[in-house]
Amino acid sequence: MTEAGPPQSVSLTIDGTPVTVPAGTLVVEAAKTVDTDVPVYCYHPKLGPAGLCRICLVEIERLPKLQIACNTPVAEGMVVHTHGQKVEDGRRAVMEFLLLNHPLDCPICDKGGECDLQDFSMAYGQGASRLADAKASKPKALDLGPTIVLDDERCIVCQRCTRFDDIITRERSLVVKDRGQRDVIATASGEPYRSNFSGNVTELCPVGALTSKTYRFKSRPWDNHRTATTCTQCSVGCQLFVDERYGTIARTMSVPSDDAISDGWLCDRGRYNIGFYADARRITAPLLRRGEQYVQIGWDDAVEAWAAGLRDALGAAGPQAVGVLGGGRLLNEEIVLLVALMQELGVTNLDWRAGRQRQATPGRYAGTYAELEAAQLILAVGRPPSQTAPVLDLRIRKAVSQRGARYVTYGGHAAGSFVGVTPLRSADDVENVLSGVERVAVVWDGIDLELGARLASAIDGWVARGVSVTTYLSGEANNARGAEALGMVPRSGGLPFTGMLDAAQNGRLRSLSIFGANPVLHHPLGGASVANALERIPFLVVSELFLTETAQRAHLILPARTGFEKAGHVINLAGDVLPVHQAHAAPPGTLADGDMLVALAAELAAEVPGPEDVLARATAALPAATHGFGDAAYSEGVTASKSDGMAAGKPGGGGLRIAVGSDIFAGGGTIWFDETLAELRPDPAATLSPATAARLDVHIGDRLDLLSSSGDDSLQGLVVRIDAGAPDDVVAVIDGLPEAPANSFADGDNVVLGARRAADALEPALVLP
Amino acid sequence: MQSFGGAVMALYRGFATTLQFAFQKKPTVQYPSVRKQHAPRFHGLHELRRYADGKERCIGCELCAIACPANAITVIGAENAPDDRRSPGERFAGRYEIDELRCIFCGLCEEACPTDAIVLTPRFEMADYRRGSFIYSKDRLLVPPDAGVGAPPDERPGGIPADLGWVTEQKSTVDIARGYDATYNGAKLKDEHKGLTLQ
Amino acid sequence: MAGVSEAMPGQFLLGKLDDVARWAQSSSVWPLTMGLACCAIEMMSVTNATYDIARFGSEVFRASPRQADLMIVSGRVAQKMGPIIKRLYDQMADPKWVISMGACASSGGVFDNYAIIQGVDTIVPVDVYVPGCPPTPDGLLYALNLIQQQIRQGGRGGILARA
Repeated sequence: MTEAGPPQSVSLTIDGTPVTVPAGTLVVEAAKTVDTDVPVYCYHPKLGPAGLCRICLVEIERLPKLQIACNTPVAEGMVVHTHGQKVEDGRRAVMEFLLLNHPLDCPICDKGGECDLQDFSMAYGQGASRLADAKASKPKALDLGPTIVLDDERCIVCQRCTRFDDIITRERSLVVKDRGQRDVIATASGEPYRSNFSGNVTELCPVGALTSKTYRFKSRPWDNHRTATTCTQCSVGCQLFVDERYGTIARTMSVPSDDAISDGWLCDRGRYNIGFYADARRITAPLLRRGEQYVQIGWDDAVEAWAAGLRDALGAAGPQAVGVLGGGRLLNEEIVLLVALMQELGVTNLDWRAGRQRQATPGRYAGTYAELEAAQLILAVGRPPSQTAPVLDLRIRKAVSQRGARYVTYGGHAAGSFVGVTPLRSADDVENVLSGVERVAVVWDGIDLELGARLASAIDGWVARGVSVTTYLSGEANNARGAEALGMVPRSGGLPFTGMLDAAQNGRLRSLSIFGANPVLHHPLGGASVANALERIPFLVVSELFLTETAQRAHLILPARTGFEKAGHVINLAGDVLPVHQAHAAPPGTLADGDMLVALAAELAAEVPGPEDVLARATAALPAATHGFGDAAYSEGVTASKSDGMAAGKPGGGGLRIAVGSDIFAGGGTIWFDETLAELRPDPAATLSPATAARLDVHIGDRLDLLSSSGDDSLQGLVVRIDAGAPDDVVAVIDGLPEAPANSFADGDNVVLGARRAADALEPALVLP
Repeated sequence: MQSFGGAVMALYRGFATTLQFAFQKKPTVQYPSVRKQHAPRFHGLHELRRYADGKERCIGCELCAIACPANAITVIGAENAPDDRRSPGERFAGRYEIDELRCIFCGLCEEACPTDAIVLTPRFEMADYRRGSFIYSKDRLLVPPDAGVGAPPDERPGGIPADLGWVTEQKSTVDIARGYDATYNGAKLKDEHKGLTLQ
Repeated sequence: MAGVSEAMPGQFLLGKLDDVARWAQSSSVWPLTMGLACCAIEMMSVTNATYDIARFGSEVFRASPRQADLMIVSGRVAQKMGPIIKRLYDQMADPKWVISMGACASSGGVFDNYAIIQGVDTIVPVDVYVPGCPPTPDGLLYALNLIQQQIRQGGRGGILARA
């Protein structure tokens, strides 16, 4: 045979069909191009070959023995038979060995019905075992961690889970312990298996050894009604399958073919935070405040009251006395409706910025996930992507471990990266690591606008030098980018949310409608002052799932729908317009925000665009942005939020500075209403550097109280954690914990006057000079 | 035209047949005071069985539910608590409901059951006035704790059977030859009418 | 009771008449000649010697709904059959009773599809449901007994119904 094709492609014959594939392709991958099935257990396209299970035996002509398809690269002129007597015999023998110690408990196994071992036993197994002795007895129903149950007897030691933990997450906590038939899956440390991506091992496991606690015995695969949709927990926009049964969400599963966004993985927050949909605390009827109490009213009355409240405010003080907050958690369609309705009413006070995030559009250098993966240098500024956009972080780990990228952070905190990371302390450091780099990806959290502006000018400098830069903004709310793109921002002289709070404080704001936001818990101005301002608004409407801190201040609470309960589109941080499909029937009595707005528009006799128009606007391609990070357009009227400026490192007043970080299991609020994930909720913790801890004379596990410099605010009962990577004189706390809200310390008042050990009440409070 | 003699003969033949049956044993089953004993394989009301030690046989695997052609069975699994073990193994039926009004008594649930938990009994008197009363849940399906049959599978410490495959070996299937006695409700039905059953 | 009957003889007599009337009515529940599907075969067999529905006074299957008291919906009810059943029921003279015989008539059974009405009780009121596919003849007799019991106790329909 002559070399006809280009040198990097190889021609071979599989089951009589000639195929041409790139050189180096494995036979198992080449076989996918023809209509045949090669069974695999240990092989996974994203984990690579391991050659452990031996089930993928194929016959290759001119080779004396059967070969494993998963670890044999194709060769020119190779003739492969994936089926045939010899192959079936070989697989049958392998199957017999795999089943030697496998228990016959398929009826109670959660994998039953979607188990590769079941399927291939049907195809290649023999009816009865020839094993005369008792099967090996190993631990069953073992608690591997807060999310995973392990059944060691079912394990066939394909090592997909340990390789996932090694190759993909780089966390390397799962190992195979012991040898031979006594081998078990365990963590190397013996500690519970904790990972933000632990759920993926249950999907990778080809048998029922690793199963999810939240799905345990809940359903059977054939009972589930599956819908493909977009995860709305964070701004990455992972595609996922939602499996519903009897009106409750049984589980969510990743979409293995979703290479463009999630790369086929899901984080545990997106995967497991589904219990809140059916929580008994859901609001299922509109609530109207009567004195100190709320009364349940019907939707007609609620919309009437809402319209009347808006009309009163508009009539009494004009459109500038009406404000709207929200959009970061709405769908594009709903944002379009909201903006159109407010435009119709002349309201200009619109804002989505209910928390610390100030900017959501990365601007003129916006990049795709593929470009991030291809970058040579990845710079994360501010909060770490591992907590704000976990699956994006997995891509960073992939770029670092598999593509040799360098990962550096500036500001923020590099803990929990699991790949080599260099924290940079100054702008000079950043310039130094840039030398000789052609492709740079910058991930910013969109919080500190001043930092963003400095970053933007630096990026412009790099681009001028010929460096290819892509930028990403991983923020707090999932559809913040959609909200910004569709106009949910202060328009023509309107007030941003901080301005609205000011106006409320002065009695100039007469009505505020909040959609899916909880500024009392998240806004950096401080929970107390936000609550105080909200209480001065004569008519506050909140559309929420639960009675949050903000909803408790409302005069009218509208029960909303979220996530899998409504259909529309969202825009993720890479700028993709992604469809959200309804996968679950919402509790009766709730309404999607879009439906509420349509009803409100009808009640107000206001003209809003029709369905086709809304859809067209909601799915339109994003306009090309011309600005960069920290653009002036975002800082107009916005009090610069510096509460996360850990990098600034300028402890004031001789005390400690507070740095507010995020945790994937803290933000968003739904986690606090999901009892199945109680174990994953972060404890209120104070992370200190060793030197700071020594200065305060506290140790790991102690309880710490923080007092603000004004003396009014405090954060109590924080568990001390010590991190060698943390900067000195900084206390890092987690945002969004209801029992210890990080915004107890008002913005600008982030200097901690003192700290005291809470456990020891007799000791006088330790006040630092 | 038939002859007169022929007509008499025809009458005689006809009445002779009637007369012949007049002295035979009457075939009528005097239901409801007597219940006809149906064939041993008769498919009537379901029951959920137990092992001799009182544990439920049902492990909540939902195979009956998927086998059911009428979608009459609803099973939702639950996990056994260590201090309250309902069944051998980790899983039991937290909810088990049969809509007897939709059920077609085909017995496929019985065939599908890996532990012989669900069986059909000879009870045929199921008619009732209200639709809702036909949703049989565990409280009506499960036999009393002392009515269990068959040895439970070997249990290791922790109450987990070494292998549910043992259940299939040790399960005592419904013995067709024993007919009514094979199920708890069948035996009860027979006892209720001891001495009254004709056939 | 003896004391009461002596003190108030008139009421005692009325009470007895009540019972007699109910007994008479319960012993002459005439079904409508109407078979829909396979269950109809079992319905027919209640008239044979083994089950002998004549013992309950119900052997008179009437071809006219105006002469029938009981409608035995025996078999699946197709969407096209629904209006006919409704009309037959409307044509029956009060008091009248309905037995929904078998899984299909009661709930659609295995036929959970576009063609079959999922339960005849969506078009006519049903007094007694009989599960089974099909129910045995004695299962149907049991249902008839339930109807008789209802009449004798003065339940729904019937002469001198209590409520």
